[in-house]
Amino acid sequence: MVKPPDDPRTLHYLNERIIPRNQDCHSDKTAFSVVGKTYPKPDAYEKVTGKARYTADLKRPRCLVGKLLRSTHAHARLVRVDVSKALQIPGVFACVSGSDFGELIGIIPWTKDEPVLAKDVVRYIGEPIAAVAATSESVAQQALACIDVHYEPFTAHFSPEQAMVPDAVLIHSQAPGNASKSVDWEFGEVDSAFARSQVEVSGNFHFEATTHAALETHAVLAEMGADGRLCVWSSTQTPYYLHRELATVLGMPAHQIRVIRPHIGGGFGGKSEPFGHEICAAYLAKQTGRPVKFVFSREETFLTHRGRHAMDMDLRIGYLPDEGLVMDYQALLDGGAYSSYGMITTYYAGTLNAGLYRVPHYRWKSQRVFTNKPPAGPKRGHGTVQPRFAIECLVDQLCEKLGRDPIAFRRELALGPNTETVNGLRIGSSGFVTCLEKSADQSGWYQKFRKMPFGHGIGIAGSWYLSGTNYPINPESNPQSNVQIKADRSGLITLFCGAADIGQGSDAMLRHLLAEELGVDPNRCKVESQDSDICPVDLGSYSSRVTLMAGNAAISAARHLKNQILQVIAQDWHSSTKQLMIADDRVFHLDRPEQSMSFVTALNRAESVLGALGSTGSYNSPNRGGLYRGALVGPSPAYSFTVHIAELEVDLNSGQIKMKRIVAAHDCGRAIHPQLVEGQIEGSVYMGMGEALLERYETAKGLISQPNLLEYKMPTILDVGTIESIIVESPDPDGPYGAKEAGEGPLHAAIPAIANAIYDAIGLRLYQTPFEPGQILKALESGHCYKPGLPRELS
Amino acid sequence: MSYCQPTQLSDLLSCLAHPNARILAGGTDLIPHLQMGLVEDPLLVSLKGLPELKRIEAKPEAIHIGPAVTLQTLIDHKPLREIYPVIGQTLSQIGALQHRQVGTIGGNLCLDTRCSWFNQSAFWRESLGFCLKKGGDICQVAPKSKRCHAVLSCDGAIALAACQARLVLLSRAGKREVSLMEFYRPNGMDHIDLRPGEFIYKILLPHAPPGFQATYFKGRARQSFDFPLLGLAIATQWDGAQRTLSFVLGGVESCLLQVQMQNLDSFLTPEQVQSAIKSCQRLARPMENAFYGPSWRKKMIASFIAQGLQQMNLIQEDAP
Amino acid sequence: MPNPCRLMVNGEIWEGLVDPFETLLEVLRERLDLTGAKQGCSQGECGACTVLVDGNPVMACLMLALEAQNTQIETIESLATQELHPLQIAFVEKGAVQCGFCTPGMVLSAKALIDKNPHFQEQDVRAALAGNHCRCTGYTKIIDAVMSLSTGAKHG
Ligand SMILES: Cc1cc2nc3c(=O)[nH]c(=O)nc-3n(C[C@H](O)[C@H](O)[C@H](O)COP(=O)(O)OP(=O)(O)OC[C@H]3O[C@@H](n4cnc5c(N)ncnc54)[C@H](O)[C@@H]3O)c2cc1C
Ligand code: SF4
Ligand code: FES
Ligand code: FES
Repeated sequence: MVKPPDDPRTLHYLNERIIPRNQDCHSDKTAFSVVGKTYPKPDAYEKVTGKARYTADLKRPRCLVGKLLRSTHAHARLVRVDVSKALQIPGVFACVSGSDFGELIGIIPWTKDEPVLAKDVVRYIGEPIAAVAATSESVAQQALACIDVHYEPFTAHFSPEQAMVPDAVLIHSQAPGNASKSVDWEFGEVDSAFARSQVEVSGNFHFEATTHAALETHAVLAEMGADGRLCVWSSTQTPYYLHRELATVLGMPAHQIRVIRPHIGGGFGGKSEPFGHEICAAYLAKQTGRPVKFVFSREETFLTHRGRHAMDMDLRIGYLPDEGLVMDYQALLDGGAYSSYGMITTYYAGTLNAGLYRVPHYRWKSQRVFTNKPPAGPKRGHGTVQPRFAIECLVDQLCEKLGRDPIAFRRELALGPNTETVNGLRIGSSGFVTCLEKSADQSGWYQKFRKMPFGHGIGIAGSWYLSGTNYPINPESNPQSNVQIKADRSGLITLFCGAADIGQGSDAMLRHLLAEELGVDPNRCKVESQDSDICPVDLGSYSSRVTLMAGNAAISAARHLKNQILQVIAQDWHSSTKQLMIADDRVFHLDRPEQSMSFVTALNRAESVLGALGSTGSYNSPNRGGLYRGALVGPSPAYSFTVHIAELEVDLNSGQIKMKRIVAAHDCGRAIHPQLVEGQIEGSVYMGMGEALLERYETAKGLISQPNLLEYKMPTILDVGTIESIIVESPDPDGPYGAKEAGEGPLHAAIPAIANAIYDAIGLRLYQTPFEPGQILKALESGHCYKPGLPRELS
Repeated sequence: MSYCQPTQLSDLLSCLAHPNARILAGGTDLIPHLQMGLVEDPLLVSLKGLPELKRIEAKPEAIHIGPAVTLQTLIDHKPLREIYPVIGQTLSQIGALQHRQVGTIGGNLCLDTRCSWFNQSAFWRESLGFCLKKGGDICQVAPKSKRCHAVLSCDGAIALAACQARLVLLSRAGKREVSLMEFYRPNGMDHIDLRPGEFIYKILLPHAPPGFQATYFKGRARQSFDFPLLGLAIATQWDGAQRTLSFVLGGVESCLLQVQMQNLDSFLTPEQVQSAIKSCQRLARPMENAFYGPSWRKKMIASFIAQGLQQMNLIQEDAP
Repeated sequence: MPNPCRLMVNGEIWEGLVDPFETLLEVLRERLDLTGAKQGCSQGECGACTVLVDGNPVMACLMLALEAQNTQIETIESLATQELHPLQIAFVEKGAVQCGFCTPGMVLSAKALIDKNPHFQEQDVRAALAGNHCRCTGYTKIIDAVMSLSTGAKHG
């Protein structure tokens, strides 16, 4: 296999022929008829009545049950995988193992290192080894038990430190030192800046691994059609990448494959790459001629993981009164057994640190290491949640040292709109300062900060995030998002787009944009996004890209359709299209109030003149970013901004944290559908809170200690306190009507805001997630806790 | 695996005589065990066909509670709430509403002990190693130990023991009565004193003695779903001249633990409080097999006792 | 050994042979095609499979089908007849539905609450829904939706 260069910069040249960006995303539009209003999410009706079908709910005649045999060893040579006995069991229709597949899979084209089913080596407990298709669950289980596997154990590494010792056994032969990816950047003059800095703070932080735990487990169903076409239904955030991988691994022409994304029961990043079980389902369906369905147990979903990387971080920050901050940052990422998105994670972790505040001097060293554990990958706020935790905790310490109010200090440091970070990220709009002000007002910050009794605390943190990346995962000159619209005489407008609605509401968002741009009632608009046979390609729901990218494509397609219709009517009315407008489902003449016509009549007229009505639109990102190695991973067309203020009580008897309230202000550019934006903010806050207080993907000998929802402690409705969202709008010139992301950015700040609130409550700094009551109680008992801001004797 | 639903007590007893018989009450503990392959080839004996096991009756000598009474029924039972508020207070902290709705008190008392090495799928246990309690020959938590340290995790037992509940056990061989404290033994593999074919036929709650007061504390990470990392019930009696105190602990051993103090005055001295804490902590042996580690769980004993005695007004406020 | 089983689901009788270990959830989903009850864990730890048994919320993955005989089982599919149930409308309008995987269970748990106590307060809603995980919403809009139906809320 020829290994492609691990240098995105080379791709920069490959990608020279970038389609000119859709210039007109109408970001300056201010008066709206649909945008900014809340209409019920169209899929909510099916969901609330139980009619919505998720992958596991789908039934096909004569469907076989698919099951995986998983490795019970963390690191071993697979001496033998013999499926012959299993094949003899009545009711077993096919059984495959690693030798049936030639290609390695992986989301990042340069780091495809994962076998569909383990071949020769197993690298983590739970890694799939063989797959069976049988008439029932119990026959399938029986078959798995009959597969003869012989292991020859190797030394396994359960921590990056262990994996990095000289001469450590290699997990991948092509990765010396078990290094998965490293990044080494320096911008500005870090050392001399530290020498000049007025105050310096530093700390060693550890962020525990966590996982997505979407309520729906992974599931896939595959079937060969009588016409020789393959159809795969899967619970995936990235149907297009699945499509590509199926074509490559199965050696089928892509046009013979249809991928359907049914309703998805949450993703959060856990379903955003092609998986072995998806390939197996297709392969087994091909082999048996019968539909094959895999539905993962909760434990299997935990084993599949791709969750947040555990990260060890050493951070030093200095304050330079006139310049801003200088930062020296090192991070060690526990990558697990495969690359997954790891190369991107290792870059992402570094890219966003030099922004939000003015950071003219910045050094970043990160190293992702392979270990014999389930692969870590992207989880909501991919790669950037961990480093932001450390930064915001240390900024809080800086404020303390400088005697500055954390809000005033952040405002002073904020990198404003139309600026560029030292590592070349160009910020368009920024509502960060507004977020600071609004969250402070709503939370009563000035009445509470350092003023509540011992044990009660309030803390603040900020963050920012990208709205899609300029540089797509797969180097293609094709657009990142495509939209097609069909309109017909019935008055129904249907928008087709492969963007994956995983519950976040991208269908509703697209419908809003379509209705807005056309000037019609959203209820006559429909979005079809599930089926690759009828929907043009969108790359999927990851990196917070959908609103900006599919949204811009939708506006552009809608505008084309509108022009077609208006041209016909303008001719009829002997005027120009500029004099016409569509609003409230009617076409109007701007200068002749008496002249108007219903939208449906106009549609019919246009169809009679032009024939079938339809239009397309595409989006490709602007070609921006610096010229250093890795400069293309991270730059985004637009950035969102967030501020969280957390209020809590430390139970002085137990060291446990009782959440009272988190006020989260988020700048999403433009709230196309405000209720959905609020939902994203609230859900992100909740997820961040879980990571701060409870959740940990803990492993013992490489296996997750507690692969169940009882011990993987997601907060319940009794634990979350009150979550309040504030929408801040600062339209970005690159966003559809100015919109930026809202799905991931509002997570980060929850964790440091809680840490800073604990400090306000009891004067204890925490450096490790989740914040353990044991540690807090110990500190309380030691007598070192106090109320910050008060003389110690008084507190 | 098979299932039967006897409708006569005598049939129930015959079914239970089967060597693999397992009572299926609410199933909220047994079904997850079946799912994980922790119970092999059982004969499930349903209690659904025996309404007499679902009764609560106040008799002169005691309140009789049938084992198949659901937790929620007990929580909502007005007379019981008046006599023993601690029972409702405790039971309403079990699992979530859905569990309390079908989970029974008998099932709660017979809840299997829990351990992070045991409550796992067959795949998990095969990967990391079986243990004494199921299929293996060492305890993974305490490798030198000959016994299992899986944790008694039923909140209900802790509170009921503090109320001095007794159990009527019945089998074809006859009836016997044990106190709830004696019902449990310090071995996680075999922690309840049920002889072959025997089941909990009745729970007897004595009428509350004079000056009885009790409260319950539960250590847990979340406010719902979670089993106790530590459960502590404090009960006291005051006959006008003397106070007795009893502390019952669960979640820190395979059995219930109890510390009793007698001949106390109306209020406790700080030394007495400290000695209660010390005695309880000395008895408890939390292991590294639950969400929060042993040291936090031990510390919480002190904190719960201090809070409890305060709440029950057993510590005199300092004179002004 | 399969046993005969007779269930009353959404007012209809279903009869068939089931394995003793088949859970109510499996029978609802696989035999009756009532897939509104979701399987998120099959161990009583998520609440996605919640159905009403004699009006009470119960996790269908923790109940054997054989044990559900002689009860009235209600699933999400029975809630809307010609019109949506007010709770369903509230969930839709308040934005309480994101991925929707928790929704059927949430709605049924909430229904059990409001059927028993129309004057509920926010703390009652939290207690009633504490056995239903939602990974998407942070619960805020779910609480809003249920509270919008409280007769007690209006009086403060
Ligand atoms: C997610 C989750 C959280 C939970 N949280 C808690 C918690 O916080 N605290 C807690 O205490 N429990 C908890 N439970 C466990 C359980 O719900 C309760 O303990 C419940 O009361 C068990 O009763 P059951 O009727 O469902 O028991 P079953 O599962 O029916 O029975 C449990 C065991 O007792 C035996 N048994 C039942 N009745 C009798 C009898 N009369 N005589 C002899 N043996 C009998 C059964 O054979 C079985 O071995 C939780 C369960 C789950 C799934
Ligand atoms: S305490 Fe030891 S023997 Fe008992 S379940 Fe846990 S590991 Fe097994
Ligand atoms: S599937 Fe029943 S509680 Fe999760
Ligand atoms: S809406 Fe997705 S789990 Fe609740």
